[in-house]
Amino acid sequence: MQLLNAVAAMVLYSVVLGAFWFQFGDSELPCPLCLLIRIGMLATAFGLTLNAFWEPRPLHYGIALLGAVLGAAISLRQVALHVVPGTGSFGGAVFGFHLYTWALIVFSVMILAIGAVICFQRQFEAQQSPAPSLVRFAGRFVVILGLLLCLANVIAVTAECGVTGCPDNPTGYLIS
Amino acid sequence: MALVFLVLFVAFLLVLLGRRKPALVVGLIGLLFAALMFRYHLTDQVRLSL
Repeated sequence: MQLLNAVAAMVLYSVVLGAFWFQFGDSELPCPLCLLIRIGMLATAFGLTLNAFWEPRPLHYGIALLGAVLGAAISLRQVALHVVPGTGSFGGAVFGFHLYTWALIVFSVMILAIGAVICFQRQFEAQQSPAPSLVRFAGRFVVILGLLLCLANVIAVTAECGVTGCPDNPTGYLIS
Repeated sequence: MALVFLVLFVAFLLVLLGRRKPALVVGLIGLLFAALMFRYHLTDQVRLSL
């Protein structure tokens, strides 16, 4: 189950990496809600990373669920801003859906998946033998990846918004 | 906004250092900050028609 949590965290990290690709590859500056969606992704991944690094516990799943619910609320808010025809959209689209729509789908799937996985009680029993080396490596890997992604976001957001709140429709970096 | 990412960075750092309980507390503080930032960016009047 630890490996499954590591894989799920990797899926969330890949979404954040995709957002970085849009930001620097396509020069699309993220809006405040887009940045909050990234925070939701990282917060959900944080809970799953705790499961992957140590062992699955209900509290870890709880943090992941809280992050996913917050992220879903934020992405739903952004979808609602653009759902009426003629209100435009923000950023590019992937397979016809904008990133905030994909984020809502990812968060919804995560909520359902965590709700289903948490039903398996045997994962919460104390393990008799130490975890295999692959599982321990995956646990450390997702922690380091999460650490690097948070650091990259601290730098990118500081360059875009400074230390105050971000502008609603950013046009350039404050620090370039 | 950068502060929220910084809090999450500290939470991940605590995980790497093996400090489970402080990591949980800092992670929850990060979530709280994120919720407050979400509220901060809901500046316009939100009306629901149910």
